[in-house]
Amino acid sequence: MAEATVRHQGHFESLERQEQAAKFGMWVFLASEVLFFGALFTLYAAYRVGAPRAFDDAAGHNTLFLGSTNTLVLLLSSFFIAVAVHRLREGAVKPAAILVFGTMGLAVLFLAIKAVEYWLHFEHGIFPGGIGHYFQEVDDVAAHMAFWNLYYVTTGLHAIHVTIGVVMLAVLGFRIRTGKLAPSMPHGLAIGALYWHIVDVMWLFIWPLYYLMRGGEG
Amino acid sequence: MSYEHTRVTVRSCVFTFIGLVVLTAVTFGLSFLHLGAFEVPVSLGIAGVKAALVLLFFMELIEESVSSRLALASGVVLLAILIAFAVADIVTRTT
Repeated sequence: MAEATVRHQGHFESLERQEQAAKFGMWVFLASEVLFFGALFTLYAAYRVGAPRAFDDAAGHNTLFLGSTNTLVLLLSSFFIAVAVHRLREGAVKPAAILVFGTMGLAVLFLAIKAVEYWLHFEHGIFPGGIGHYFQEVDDVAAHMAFWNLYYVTTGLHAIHVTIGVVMLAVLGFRIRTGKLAPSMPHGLAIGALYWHIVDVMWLFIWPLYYLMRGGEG
Repeated sequence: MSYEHTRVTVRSCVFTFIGLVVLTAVTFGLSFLHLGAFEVPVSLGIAGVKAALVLLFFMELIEESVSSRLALASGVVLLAILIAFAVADIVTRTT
């Protein structure tokens, strides 16, 4: 099995510096992702203050159990890849690869559950763009349209990020299995893991905003 | 081998995961109660704690360089300003 080179690149004074620089680059990108999703959260806040009861009502029509299951799926996936990073650092290559593929499997499960949720929304007459019989049956149509349009854009954007993550995890998993991503230079996996964790963090805010804040009516 | 990562171990990942699941169950349960005006701060407050756990322990921000922490903090602070002013705008409109 070929070992990746241990020597750091010339313009860094040590491997530690190189790893820190690589991680810093990823953190800057993650900060931009926070703002990217943040714009959608801002819209949610702005529309919600105008019609809190309608937003509670709309959230009550969401697929709570599937959405909550997805929260657990993503938390478990973050746990898997966090442990994978540790295992790779320890030199346990095969367990690391298995955990990365496990993370990928959970990501695919998340997308499958999301697809079922969208299908159920369509069944209830809730389509993007305010189309569907649901919007003829509610009181504050404008507020419900705002909620559901924001829901589709936010969760759609999130699902695209998950899909990109699936591809990334597959690549990382294969690189670990074939020895191209070795324990001596594990920060390649750590950086990929940072991306995956931020996708999880985004969902941790999407879930209460679109599923939990139902006005406590059950 | 890369430099020593001493503060976050697999054990801390396990405890973090357990904490995250517990908080998830708590928010889920609380969503069935009539919290009224507390609904928003409670749900989002707990979400913030969960995000902090993921950031500090899974993403190892607790042992990360100052520059990386600053990068993330600036994103979060700017977002807070954006939300605060957008909401203040809407809430103070008289028309």
